[in-house]
Amino acid sequence: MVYATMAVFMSAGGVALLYASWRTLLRRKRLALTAGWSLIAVSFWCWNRAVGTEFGIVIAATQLSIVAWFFVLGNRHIRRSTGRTQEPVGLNLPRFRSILHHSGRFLVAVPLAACSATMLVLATAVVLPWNDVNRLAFAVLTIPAIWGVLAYWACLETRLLRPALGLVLGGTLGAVVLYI
Amino acid sequence: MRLTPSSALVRESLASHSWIGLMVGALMYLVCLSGTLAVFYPEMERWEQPYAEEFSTFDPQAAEKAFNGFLASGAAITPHMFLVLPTPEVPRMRIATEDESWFLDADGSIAQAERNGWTEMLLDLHLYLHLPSSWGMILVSALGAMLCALIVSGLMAHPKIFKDAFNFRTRGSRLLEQADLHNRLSVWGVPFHLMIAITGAYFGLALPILAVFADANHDGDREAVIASVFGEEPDLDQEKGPLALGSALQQMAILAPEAAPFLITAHDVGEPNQYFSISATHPGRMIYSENYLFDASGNFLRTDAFSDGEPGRQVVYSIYRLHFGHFGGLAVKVIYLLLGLALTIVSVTGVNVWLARRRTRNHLNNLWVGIVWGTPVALVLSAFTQVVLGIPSTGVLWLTILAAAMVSIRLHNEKRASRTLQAAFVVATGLLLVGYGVRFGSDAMTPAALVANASLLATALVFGAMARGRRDVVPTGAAMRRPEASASLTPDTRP
Repeated sequence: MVYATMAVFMSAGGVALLYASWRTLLRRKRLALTAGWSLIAVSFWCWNRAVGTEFGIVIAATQLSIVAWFFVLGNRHIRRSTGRTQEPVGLNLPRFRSILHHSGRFLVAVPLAACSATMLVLATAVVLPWNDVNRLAFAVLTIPAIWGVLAYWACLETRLLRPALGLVLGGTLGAVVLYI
Repeated sequence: MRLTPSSALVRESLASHSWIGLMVGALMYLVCLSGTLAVFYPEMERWEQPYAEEFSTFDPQAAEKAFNGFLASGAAITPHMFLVLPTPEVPRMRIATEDESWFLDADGSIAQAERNGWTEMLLDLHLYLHLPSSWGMILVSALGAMLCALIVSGLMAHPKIFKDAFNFRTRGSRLLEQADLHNRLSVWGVPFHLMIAITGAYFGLALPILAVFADANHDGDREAVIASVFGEEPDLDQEKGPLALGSALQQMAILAPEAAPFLITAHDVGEPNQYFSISATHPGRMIYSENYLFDASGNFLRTDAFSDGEPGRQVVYSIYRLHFGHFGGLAVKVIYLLLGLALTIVSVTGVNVWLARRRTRNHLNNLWVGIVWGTPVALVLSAFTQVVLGIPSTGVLWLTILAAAMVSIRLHNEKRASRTLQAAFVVATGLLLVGYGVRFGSDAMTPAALVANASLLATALVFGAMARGRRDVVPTGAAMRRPEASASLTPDTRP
């Protein structure tokens, strides 16, 4: 209980110092920033002592978010209404060309990126000097993240061709490593 | 070295973030809201059947007699049979087949069947979006991957992430208010959001990934890969007979004195190779359980090595508790509730920002308000029809969301539609609470039911306060020119 209480105070103090640094409330900004992150690191250690490593890491990270939101709420600025309005219009159906473009982007960002991520990560997993269970654990936790990054890339490019080709190439490369 | 992204990259990242967000916005909202509530599904199950007997200790011999009596009774036995033991979280004991479940009294006698249709509906919404389970789970898992994409694109689209970390401007401009709320909740919530995205994606992607892995490395033998992850079944050849659960439960005090058994699973019931496992939580460990395997006579065989086996096995078996917040007690559940609500708000405000950025408004605005505020009404109304009236809740949920969208389109005013649906939530909650009291009588006064109903009442009060909120209307510009526009002149519609 003592460590948990200490952890909450440490993270609150850490966020307070980050707030002071980023809002330039203190003259020694860099020192406040370093001290803030250090206190947050100490709060992780305190949670670790209070509830063990596995629970401690999760609780420390999630509790930090809530502490920070209190500071955000405290920093709330209530502004005068701008009074701007939006013109009401009827529902315009998108043009066929636009539907085609967005459908293509969907196919590249979702199923193609999924296949590519799966092949690339599994190909990486099988060359790692681990046994099957560790390779699979690595793959199931990494594929969603890599899929997300590839989907971001697919939507980042104005022209779809480049990510589409890149994903096909990456996926094929992964499949070659995996199956041959 | 310059670490901030170029303005072109920021612009393109923002476009990418918007595109992905709009693609998944509504589904993400439903999954996040249902997931937030699903953190409390054990409590909801208790609330749905407040009359089931609750107790924290039990006689292992009575439990064994009840279980073996059930197996011998000629009831519909399935390959796996379960005895769910009382825990501090759910102090109830149940016997279950793969399809049905019955409560047990403290003396081991079989009581009423378990009926938790509404909680199951809520879980199905979160896990499958009420689609056929295999496709639904893959779709929900894809949402996890898209959440990863949204996190990456959102961070890349935000060059002043630290400078703005505490900015929260309200009321001034709808766009600014929604963007600040979206950014502050999402930036500080990144660790939780990333964890939820990756662990959420696991549930639907594990099997397809395993299938590809098995095809590539084990000539398609999926069973071999599954056995490498979850352990092999013991090879036994015994006389058919009752399962010595009591003896095994007593051995647990010696095998793992710190562990807390919560489930007994009988495998291959009635077969020569039948055996059973006792699943137990270990203090301070995220693993769902360690499984202690016994033969039918109660001789300890081995564990499944989830607590001390390969790191990969421990990680995979920790994903469930990590995703649902089922570790560390009520405090962790409350943290998950707050962070889950924040993620739900992030998914709503993301779409709000896109809508507010447009120069015009149309029925998309109305439809979105209908979905956002109609879903809580639908959840409460479906709870009323299921728990109080016994009408299956899935159809009620979707019909209510549809009705809410139609009401919103009919009103053609986001603020009025929000308020109407918030008021509808208050009325529906009142109906549910009164109906619950009438349906369950004195059982409605059990501590679990009281806490759940008090939480519902508090939520209804918040919705009531929101429905009675600000009504400031500033008639300017287009509204002065077009009579139909004046209906939409509320703070909600100002960009």
